[in-house]
Amino acid sequence: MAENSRMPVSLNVGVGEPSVPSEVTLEARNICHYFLPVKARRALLVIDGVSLTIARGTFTAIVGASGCGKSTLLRIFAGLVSPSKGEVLLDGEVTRGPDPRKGMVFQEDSVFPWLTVQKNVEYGLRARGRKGDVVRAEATRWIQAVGLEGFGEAYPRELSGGMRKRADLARVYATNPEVLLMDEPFGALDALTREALQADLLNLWQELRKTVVFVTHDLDEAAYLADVVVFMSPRPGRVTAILPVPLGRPRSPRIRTSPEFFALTRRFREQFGYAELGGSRALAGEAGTP
Amino acid sequence: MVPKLADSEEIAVRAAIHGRRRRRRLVQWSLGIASVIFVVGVYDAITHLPGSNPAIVPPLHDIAGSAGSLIAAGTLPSAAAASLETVAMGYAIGCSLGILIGSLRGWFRIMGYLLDPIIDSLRPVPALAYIPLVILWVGIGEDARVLVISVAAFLSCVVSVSAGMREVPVVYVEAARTMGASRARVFWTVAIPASVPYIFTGLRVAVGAAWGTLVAAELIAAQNGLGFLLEAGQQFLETSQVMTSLVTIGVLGFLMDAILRVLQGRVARWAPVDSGT
Ligand SMILES: Nc1ncnc2c1ncn2[C@@H]1O[C@H](COP(=O)(O)OP(=O)(O)O)[C@@H](O)[C@H]1O
Ligand SMILES: [Mg+2]
Repeated sequence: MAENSRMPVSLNVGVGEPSVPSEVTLEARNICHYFLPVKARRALLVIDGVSLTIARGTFTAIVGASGCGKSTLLRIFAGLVSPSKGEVLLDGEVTRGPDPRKGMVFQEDSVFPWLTVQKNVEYGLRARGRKGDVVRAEATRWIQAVGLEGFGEAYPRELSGGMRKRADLARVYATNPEVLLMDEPFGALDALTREALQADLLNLWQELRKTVVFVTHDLDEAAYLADVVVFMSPRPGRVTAILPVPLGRPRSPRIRTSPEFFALTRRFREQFGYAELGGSRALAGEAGTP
Repeated sequence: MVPKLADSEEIAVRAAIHGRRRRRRLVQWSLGIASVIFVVGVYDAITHLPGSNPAIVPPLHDIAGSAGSLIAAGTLPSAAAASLETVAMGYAIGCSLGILIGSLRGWFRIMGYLLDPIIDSLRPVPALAYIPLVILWVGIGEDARVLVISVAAFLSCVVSVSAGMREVPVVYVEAARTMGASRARVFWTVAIPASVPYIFTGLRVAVGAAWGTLVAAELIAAQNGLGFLLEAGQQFLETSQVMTSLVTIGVLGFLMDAILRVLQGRVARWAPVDSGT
């Protein structure tokens, strides 16, 4: 039931008209990152000179093969990892650690199993020093918004994977960040649940017009959700192309079966070079240390 | 949003689930009791073997008789009460310190650097080895026993608690940090609750350590308590009394563990308890 419900688009969160689209909010300047794997003699270059500017209120997808450094890049954006070289700026300010203006949804299951859904969603609000009934009401509102009404008192292990992800989203939305960093949030879900959650996310984005940076390895997902798609090469991750998504808004799920959509995703696949290489480049990225 | 069952269906569904749980608990209890009866039965058979010496391997009715008279005389209850009091004191002190120190050294790297060498070099020394020193320092008495038991409980608790802290998945910490939690808040709201199952493991291991040390401490220096009763039984060749004391210690330890298990089920309802139910 909750899996396939749509988010009600009746949230009156105070975000007015989208600001000037060209205004830059998040900026990455020449980011390089190395890891030193336990059994390697030399440092492993994972991200090689990534520079990006992300405009306020836009939905940017970052696509790349597994292992190309997408999660690392997003952790750097979030201020959880400091890059070996380069810097990340938010509204012109250099990032030095986690920041309440940036929320992150992780690839892993990160809902706290020891808290109920309600308490999970309240967590971020309380961490920001808010108290009392307001917090409870706010959390309840977001639980409803992600389609988990009636599951507030459930513990995460009593929910399906898709419902846990919904709880995770509610938790991040509730903290009302300016920038939402999402790391393959739907990657672990079955196709039906994923499409339901994508549609819900899109509805909500249409409403709130947050700046979203969405990492995925799914080209259809990127095309359906984003305004701009950033392509990364297999490790070391570099930006190989930045392509716009020339699809109108708001988008309904029906768009996914339209000819323009097919043409677009085909263009994306060619960009990746899958056609010629039969996916071997993707596999190269998947392999361990070179 | 949540589909509701009709009342009659609800009752049927509940009954089915509760029935399944009850059956499982019934099987659990029956098997548990059966295995105890089996062991007692084997013991009984041994006492009936030709040539078995009732002074060394007392038959069941001798043990029951001894237990009866020890209870009637008030010796056993007073010994059990004395031991329980000592264990409770030592256990409480040792485990409180164990949880405190264990979580600090497991969570804050600096505390680990400071405390690891001390704790890791104390750990291989059995708590009993401190008895001579403790006797020299505080004399033979209740304080000495409580102190030694605290050390034993502390050492077995601290290891499990800090292991739990080090096992907390990084992503929970990252999630809390990005939601705006300070480092102190992360400690209280992520590290502690995430390692509750490990803390309980520590508490349960410490029960065994505390009782083991108690008996040893009372063997050496006590005028009362189950260890004393044990020792006296051996000296006067009252094997039945030895057996009675052993069983009492076992039962008390088992009860403490059972209480902890119930408590764990309450405190950490989100994580299934490893055994039982
Ligand atoms: N802590 C780490 N230590 C060493 N290597 C790491 C570590 N984390 C990630 N890596 C390596 O960095 C690369 C990129 O990882 P990640 O950012 O998770 O990729 P993606 O999210 O694109 O799949 C991988 O090849 C992985 O082996
Ligand atoms: Mg990843």
